[in-house]
Amino acid sequence: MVNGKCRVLVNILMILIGLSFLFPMYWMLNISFKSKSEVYDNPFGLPRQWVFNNYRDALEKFNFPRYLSNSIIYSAGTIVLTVFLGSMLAYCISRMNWKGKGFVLSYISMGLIIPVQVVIIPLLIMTRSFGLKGTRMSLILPYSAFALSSCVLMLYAFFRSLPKELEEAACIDGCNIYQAYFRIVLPVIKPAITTQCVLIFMNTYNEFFLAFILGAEDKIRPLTVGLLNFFVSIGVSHWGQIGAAMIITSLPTIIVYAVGNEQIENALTARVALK
Amino acid sequence: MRKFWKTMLIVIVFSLLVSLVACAPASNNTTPANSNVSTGGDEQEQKPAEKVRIKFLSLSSDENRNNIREKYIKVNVSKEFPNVEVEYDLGGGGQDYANKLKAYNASGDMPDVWFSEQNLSTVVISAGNALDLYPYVIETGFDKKFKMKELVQPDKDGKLYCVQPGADQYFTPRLWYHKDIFEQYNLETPKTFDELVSLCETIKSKGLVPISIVGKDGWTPNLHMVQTMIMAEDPQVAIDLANNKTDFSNPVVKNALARIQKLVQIGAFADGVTNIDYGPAIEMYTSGKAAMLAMFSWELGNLETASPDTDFIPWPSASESVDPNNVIQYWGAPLSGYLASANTKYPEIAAKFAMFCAEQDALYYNIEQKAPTMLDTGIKIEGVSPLMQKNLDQFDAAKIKVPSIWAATFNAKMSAEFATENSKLLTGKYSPDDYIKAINPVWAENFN
Amino acid sequence: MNKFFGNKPAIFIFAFPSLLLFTVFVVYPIFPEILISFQKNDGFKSMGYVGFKNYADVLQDKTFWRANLNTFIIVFFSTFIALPISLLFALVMDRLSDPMKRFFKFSSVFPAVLSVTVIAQMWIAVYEPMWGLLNSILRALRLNNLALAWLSDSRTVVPAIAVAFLWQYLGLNALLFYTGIKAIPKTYYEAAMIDGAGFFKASIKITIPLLQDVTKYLLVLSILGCMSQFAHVRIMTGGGPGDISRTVVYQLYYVAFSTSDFGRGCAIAIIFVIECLILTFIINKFVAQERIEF
Repeated sequence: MVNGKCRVLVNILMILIGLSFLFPMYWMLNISFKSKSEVYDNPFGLPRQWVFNNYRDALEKFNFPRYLSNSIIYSAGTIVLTVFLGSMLAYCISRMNWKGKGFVLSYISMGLIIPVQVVIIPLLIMTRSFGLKGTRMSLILPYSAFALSSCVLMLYAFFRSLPKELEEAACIDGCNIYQAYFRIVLPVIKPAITTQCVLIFMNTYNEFFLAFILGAEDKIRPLTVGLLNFFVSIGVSHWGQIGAAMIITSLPTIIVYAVGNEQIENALTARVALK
Repeated sequence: MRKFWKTMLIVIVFSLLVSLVACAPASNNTTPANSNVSTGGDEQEQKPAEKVRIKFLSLSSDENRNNIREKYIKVNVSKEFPNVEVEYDLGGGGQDYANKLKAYNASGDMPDVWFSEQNLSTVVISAGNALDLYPYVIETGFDKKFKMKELVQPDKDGKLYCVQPGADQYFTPRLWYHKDIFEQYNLETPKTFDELVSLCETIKSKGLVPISIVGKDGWTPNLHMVQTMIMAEDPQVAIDLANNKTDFSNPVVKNALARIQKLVQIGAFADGVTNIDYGPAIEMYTSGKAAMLAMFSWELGNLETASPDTDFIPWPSASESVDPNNVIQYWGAPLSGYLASANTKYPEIAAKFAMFCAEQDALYYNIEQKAPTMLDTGIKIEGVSPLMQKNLDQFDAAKIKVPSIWAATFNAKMSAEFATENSKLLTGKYSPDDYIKAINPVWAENFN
Repeated sequence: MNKFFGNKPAIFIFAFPSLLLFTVFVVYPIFPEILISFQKNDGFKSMGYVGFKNYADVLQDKTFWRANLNTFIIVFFSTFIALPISLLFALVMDRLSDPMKRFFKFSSVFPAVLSVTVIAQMWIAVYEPMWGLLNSILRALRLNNLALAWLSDSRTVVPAIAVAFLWQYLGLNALLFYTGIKAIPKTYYEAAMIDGAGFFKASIKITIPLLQDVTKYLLVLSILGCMSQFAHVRIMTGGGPGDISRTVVYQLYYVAFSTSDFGRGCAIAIIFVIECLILTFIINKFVAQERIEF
């Protein structure tokens, strides 16, 4: 169909475009090895003089292990809570017979259009009056609540595409609905759940605004906020160290993505294929 | 299926663990600290081994604030307050800091002690969230340490909400320049605004940025350049503005805005100036890409270290009746400093900690910047550099000293809208008339 | 079976916890917002109800309309430029050899994985007028006239932000399209190939019409994502120069926090939520034949 020359051309073009998407990685790595002044003189070329101290200096300037462990606790907590609760609700809406499930679906979708900036002050007051202030739950709960919408919508589409015979078989085997759900239905949608885990991880790990306002205490501060303080404390001038800090903070997401990227795609395909 | 149950079990156990860790108040590691105190401390006169925790919020976006916190407050706090554990909340800078503080203020949940500038302090004070420090100031004799008593005088209600080191009162905007560059191209320092314009044109033609300013959020015009340009023509107008006796439709103001616009249009500032932040602006000057820098004298020490050929001139005047050496704008505002929360559990400790911070602040300026402060720390400033001496001499010699309108009079809304208008002005395509039309209604409500 | 799926206690146990969480942390806070939008309120105390004054003020404010315009420019870019490019990527991706496919999939989604801070900072460096990558390239091509101060020029700032923002999610959307393409049974193509249809013909005649579902889904998500754009603007320009590049959410943030006018800020929030609802309604009405569950 496509002749040879054309194919080579397309391949070259796609490689170039693909590489351009990796540019942020190159950029971060590149400036992270440059001295303070070189970033301004030679912002995009390879470093003329390789500076390895940037990483050490960056790590010294902010409490990386603490912020990282906080970020991971937030991500893990949000994933567990959201996926656990969200999958149950999605299942309930897609499968069970009750009035108002259509309404509930629209209701939960509202989460997609309510900006966090709008509700920040009531949230702040609420976390305090629930006695959550200064605990990590003060962030995990709002994160989960905001992550619920897209999680429920996606899993809902999944459940809808599953054949009803699944539960019928289980019913005949004498399972009650809980057993049927946890033993039979959940394992089937595992790919979708993995996808949700990866997506929620990316979002929570990179979230900034809520963490900045609610995570006031250093002990519960995640990496994004720690990084901002690092950014500004350095006066947005020592780009070498900023580059190093960006690499360090991005590493966990890059690893998760490198490991999970095939999974995401499989899950997405599975969803469409099951329809 | 078995495998699945196993994974589910792991997930559930894990989630329980996470929620345990997450729900435990983050303060649970005070226990080891307590045991430390009880073994090491032998003179526990008050509650034994009970550490008081207070929260302290300060700016973390400029080097001076960071050094004061890291090298002075953090280092010395254990000596002065052995039983206090301080939680440091880093607030970033600029709008981030303002928004964070406002969110705390709105929820009534202030840190015990914090640093804020005048326009933010007033917001907190009018919400009733600031502690009256006056009784503690009198009790500890803190007021006796001041060279300028006005700084520790209570307001008309007999309250004093803010303690400060009194370093600000010496800060003034300067036009810094590289002597080497001026020599290299045979340039003369300007005395009038017209000379400044032609100087900028010359420098621009040499491929250098004439004046480096902080353009992001209109920072330099906000903090001083608008006022500087007003004072270049008639200092009285700036004084009138500060006292709410005139508004922005005053022709002098309009001329001042037009002068800034003119500077933008001839290319006196870098390309894309509206996006240049504080750090890069300084970097542009110290790296020699810009010949001049518009900046307050609080950067003097850092500039001198980074580029030893630095010198300064007072801002050129725009009217023959104004002698640039005679008028000066100073930064200090009565409510820029350390405040304590009215809702703090430990008012006495918070108040004392606020005073302690002011003192550490002063120490930092006395020792590291060799700059004088109104708060007398007992440190004799020695080895003042010639440039610093020149700066202080010129400051003392000036007869007309006008406080910064931005620092001393603007409320939150005025500051925000002023910043927006200045940022637009820096595009060079925004007319002073539009500017005045937009800002005057906001100004009319400023003193309400 | 009806009993199985109609088990009342089970429905309650399945639905209640998440609805509670969602209601408390997402929906409930809207109610104080609605109240505040009718008050003169500076964030810590109310100074009485003012009726619809806040709404009238907002609707008469030029900056608000400018922010709306900017937001819709971003939505426009997303719908008519970014999504078609993603679709094209997906179509081409489908024809690539396996190793190429894997490489392209990995790299194109990569920007979406990084935090907004990193991506926005990178684009700031790209757009920097004096040493930025874009202007360096333009100057090397002798196009000095085109080397603008991208983020400071009122003509270019909004498209510049839109490019940075949409570029970050280009690959992710392409991947979603691609999974849709993969789900199309190969037999359709075989029939087309017998007819001698090439890449373009097959794409237009077969693939694209069959992608309706995915397209609808992406349309809603990307439009709503663009509507609430905030982070890139905040980091890249802070809404500047002046108020020129503010989006609606940025404007709401500015009015509520920077000018301490929470009454007006909440009014903007409510108007914004209504706008989003109307938009979704329009998409459902005109774009999708089958109603998207929303």
